[in-house]
Amino acid sequence: MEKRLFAVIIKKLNKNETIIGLFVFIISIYIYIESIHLPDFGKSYESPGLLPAFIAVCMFVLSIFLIAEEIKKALNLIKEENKGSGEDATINREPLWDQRIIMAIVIIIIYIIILPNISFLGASILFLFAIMSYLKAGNFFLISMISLLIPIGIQYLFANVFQQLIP
Amino acid sequence: MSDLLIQAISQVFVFKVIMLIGIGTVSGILVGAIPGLTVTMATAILVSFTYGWSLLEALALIMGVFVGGVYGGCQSAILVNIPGAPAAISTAFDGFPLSQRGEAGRAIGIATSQSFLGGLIGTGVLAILAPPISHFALRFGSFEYFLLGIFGLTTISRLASKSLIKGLLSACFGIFIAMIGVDPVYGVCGRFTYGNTQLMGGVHFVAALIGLFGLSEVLAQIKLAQFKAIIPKAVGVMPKWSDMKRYFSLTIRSSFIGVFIGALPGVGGDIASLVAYDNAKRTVKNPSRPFGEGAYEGVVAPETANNACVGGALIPALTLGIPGDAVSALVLASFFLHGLRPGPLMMVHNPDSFWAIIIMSIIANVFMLIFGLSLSKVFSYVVAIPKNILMPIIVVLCVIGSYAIEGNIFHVWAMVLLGLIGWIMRRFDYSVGAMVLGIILGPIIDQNLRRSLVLSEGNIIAAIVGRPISLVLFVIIIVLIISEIPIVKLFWYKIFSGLSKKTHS
Repeated sequence: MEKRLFAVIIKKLNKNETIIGLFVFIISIYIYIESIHLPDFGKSYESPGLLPAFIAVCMFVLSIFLIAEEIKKALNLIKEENKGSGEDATINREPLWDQRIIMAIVIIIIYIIILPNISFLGASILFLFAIMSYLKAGNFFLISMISLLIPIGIQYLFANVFQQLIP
Repeated sequence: MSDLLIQAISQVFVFKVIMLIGIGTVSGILVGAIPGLTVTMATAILVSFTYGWSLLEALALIMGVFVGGVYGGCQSAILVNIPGAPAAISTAFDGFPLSQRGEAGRAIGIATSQSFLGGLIGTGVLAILAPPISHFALRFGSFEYFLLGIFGLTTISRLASKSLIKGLLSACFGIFIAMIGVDPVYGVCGRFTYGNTQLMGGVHFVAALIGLFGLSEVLAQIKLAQFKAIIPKAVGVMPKWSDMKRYFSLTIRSSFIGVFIGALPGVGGDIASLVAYDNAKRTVKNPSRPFGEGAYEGVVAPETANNACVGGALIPALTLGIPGDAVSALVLASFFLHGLRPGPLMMVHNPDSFWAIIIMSIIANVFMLIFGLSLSKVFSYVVAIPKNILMPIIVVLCVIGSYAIEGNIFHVWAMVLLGLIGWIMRRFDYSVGAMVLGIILGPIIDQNLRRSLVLSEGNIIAAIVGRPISLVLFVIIIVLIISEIPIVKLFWYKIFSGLSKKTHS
């Protein structure tokens, strides 16, 4: 019976929120362990690890509250279903990742990898062309013109007017 | 003071500085008007671009963008019911119905004139209150600064996040990011650097700001479909004197709401405009139309409050070094990058910078009035730029902005990583603002905490109780945290509802 209830709670839990809570739980333990190993120069309150250790403890406690909140929400959902509404009362949430976001992130990462190897101009033209084509920003001519003119304009503005370092 | 004012006027009334304020204001209005671009994003990128400039020129551009950006959101809010900035959410409630009735021009005119008045009142309050607050804050020591940092984080965690737990977690994570690098007190020990020389310098806060406010917003917008709207014509924008007289008392009330809310750490124009709108709904007896159906009062109140908020946010930023909102945090960042330390000593060592900001704010408000009224047609076309063209360009600006900090590709990678983290945080209702405030206040809290402990030989609680200002701050923080506990909230609710029943009977 208890195993069954546990399985139902796991099913009803908001997976993403619970995973975040567990992630924070684990990371807080890691931060605490790293912090207490920092040198303390004689007195613990002079240690550079003091505030990180304190923050780790706060995060640890908050992650437990977060996970407890999700379990409470799951139990409330089970109660609602048991009242006989006949509906599967699950919180619907859009998936975290969708194809557009993943592709955009991949294109951005490739852009930054090639940036130091090709010039800013070349890398930015390629980047803008690739991402605007993927996002269907317009026809080939429009995308090409924007991909060409914007990096040239930015390079001129920032190198000559703002006198900034360009990759 | 008059000498300082004259000195500040002579520094600011230089062609280049005035031109930069004007350019900043127009850019700010454009950024504010375009849904998907935020003034915080623009300011974060600008802080790195203006690194090599003189402080005055950098501040001129940033103040222009700040003032223009907060106002600019009303353009798209009124024309197409999509607020360009969070501060314009409430403006859309009555602004768009006015636009649907063919009164877009009059609505924009009223929004512009009221934003101008609100901005001037906010600047005036800043000019009047900042010197005595600075003078009072000279009594602050490490104990007080430590507690002020905690107060700032507690406030933003409560107000800027749907859940206190998530708000506090965001703030804690921000403090952790700020701890990465060489220990600033002893300078010999690296924290979470793993021997990596790049990490020894820590995560640069400007790269963090660009990632958290810029790239994360881009990722959030990329998900949305391409936006193309039919933009109504805005004719007859010049405000009438009779309108300004009619709404004068509401303007004054809303301005003070904006200033007060802006002065609270971590809370900005969005909250100020919502509170002012709500106040107008409850207090205006005979609105021009029912609220929500095109009442002019529904445009006056939020627009006045959100621009007054600019002055309010700068009060704690310049006098205590604690930012009132995200953009004032970036104004502070600009000061730090130029080797200045905002806080009570700013009025002692650099009072000219403070008065220069006052004058720049006034000039920016004047430019906002002029450009807002004369260029509304141009802004209406800009509002319609598709996101799938705009967002990639913003990515390029984020990359170049992060690189420009120190000419190091490491900061670009840091920006991307924090941008991803920021996007995930937004997705799950964690406050990016709380994390940013954690990054900015983390070093202040760290150094002052350890200094306080050394001074009190480890007995900090006794030391805090023995200092009146610290004790008051400590009690406020405890009350703020305890008041969010559900049992305590229920207890207070029962007390207040019992009291109100007794009053009515």
